[in-house]
Amino acid sequence: MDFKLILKKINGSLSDSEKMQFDSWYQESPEHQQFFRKVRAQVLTKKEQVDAEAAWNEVQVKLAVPKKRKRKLWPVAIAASLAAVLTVGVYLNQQKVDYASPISSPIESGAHRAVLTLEDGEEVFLGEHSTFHQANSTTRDQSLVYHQPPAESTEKIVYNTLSIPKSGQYKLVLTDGTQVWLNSDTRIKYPTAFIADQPREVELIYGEAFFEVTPSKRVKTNNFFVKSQGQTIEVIGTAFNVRNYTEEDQIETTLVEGEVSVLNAISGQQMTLMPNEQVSLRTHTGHWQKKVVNPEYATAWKQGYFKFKEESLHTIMRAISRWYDVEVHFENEELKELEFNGVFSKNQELEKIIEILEFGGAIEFSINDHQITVRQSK
Amino acid sequence: MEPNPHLLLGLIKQRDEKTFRHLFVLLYPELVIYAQNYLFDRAMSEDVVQEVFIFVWENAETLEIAVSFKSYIYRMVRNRCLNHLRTLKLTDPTKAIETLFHIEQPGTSPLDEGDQEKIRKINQIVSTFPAGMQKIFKMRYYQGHTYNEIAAELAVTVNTVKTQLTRARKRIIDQLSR
Repeated sequence: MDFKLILKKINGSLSDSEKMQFDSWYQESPEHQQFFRKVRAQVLTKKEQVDAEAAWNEVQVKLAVPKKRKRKLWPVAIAASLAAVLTVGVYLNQQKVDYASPISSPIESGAHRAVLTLEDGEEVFLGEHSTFHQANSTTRDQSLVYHQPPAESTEKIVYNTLSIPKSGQYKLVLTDGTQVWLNSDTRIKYPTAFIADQPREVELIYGEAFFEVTPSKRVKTNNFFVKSQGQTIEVIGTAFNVRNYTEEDQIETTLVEGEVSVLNAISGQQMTLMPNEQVSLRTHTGHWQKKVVNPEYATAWKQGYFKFKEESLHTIMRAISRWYDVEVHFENEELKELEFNGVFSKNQELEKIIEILEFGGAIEFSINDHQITVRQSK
Repeated sequence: MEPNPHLLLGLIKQRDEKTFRHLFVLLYPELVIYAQNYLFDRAMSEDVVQEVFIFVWENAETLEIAVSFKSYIYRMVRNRCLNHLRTLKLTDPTKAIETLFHIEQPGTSPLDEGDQEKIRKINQIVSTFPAGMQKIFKMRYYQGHTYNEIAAELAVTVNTVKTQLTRARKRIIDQLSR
């Protein structure tokens, strides 16, 4: 599309055919919408001063950055305990010696971002530093907060949808004070205000969310329900994690505090969870299973960690692909079943995590742009 | 006056960090503003310009520069910006972006030196402004005065300055998007 159409849109001088062209470009992706907003805000504004000295300090370091250590594999047993390896990983990082071209750019970790879809279909990109304010909603510290509107305006339920892209995360606060942390690749639909004496209902369309629900006795509304394709959670007052990624064919609900009742929409059965209990519902068969777990593993993502215990490489790489927005290919299917333990910060470059995974000696990775291939090490 | 580009490049090839730093500090601010004109994003613009400098440092050995160093580096920045616009499926066949930049930063970019057509177009747009608006516009964009300075100088309110600039802006966009 011709950049000029953006200028015309800002000026309100699009012809009908140009309008169609602009609209289809605008609807095509959140990046397009974000760019349009940036142009509208900045076209012909005086640019701020630029600090060249500060930038030089950043660049100078990069000029001297050593080339990545050649991937060396240690002949250690499979199934490395990553936690034990972490300190060694740090030691290795200091051993980089061969200085050369640093141009390969590291794959950065995700950040706060989301796309808010309003009732009328308008989409608003919320980024690390975006501010948004409309009706009873406003952004605050990288979360979107809804305030209780005046009573007379809450007769009709209005829904908004918040979508978190890959390599994004965001937090949502509903009018009843319920807090919802949203992981990468997640979509949730919720009312912009709850109506007194009616059940509070949100829909986790896909992805992963951690809920801290305000008990119904503290607000003048009834119980809180979280619906997903295949199950409904009735919340009696509490904190829990729901994970419902389409590609995983299962919904995993982990209770941290309080009590929830889970309805299996496929079999019609109902199950009550107590703290530290987790239920996994197979969405294809309706089969479900409850077990006692340490909830820290299911909720570490919200604290900024990946935390795995006897977790398959398949599941680990899925979490990584969501947070770093990379595609993962396994050269050999069996590798998917390798199990790892470990904790690492989500706030680091992907290469560092890969280095640690490789350190066990069983597998090696190659990174090409945002494609990652996992193979058995030779 | 810029030294001989071959000399500059020769010094960079010899990893003369002092020369490189000098060029960086000299050109970085205007290049960032230039990039920002395409990208409408300060952080992204800084990244692009830094990457270009790093590229030059890394690849000095194999670079041949036929034009001035400044033109060369402006061109690299522009190409990267246009690439980014391409990923957003945008093109700029009438060079509206370049023209916007000239209005704001006259005489900075070496790329279109002597582009009489563009200069004529810009002068033509600005000359259609009423006298007061023209004065305010030039003080703001050509001489870099603040709203307050302009208001004091012309004995008008800051609000008038802002209104006039908003109207001027609308006229420019109108003209450019024809």
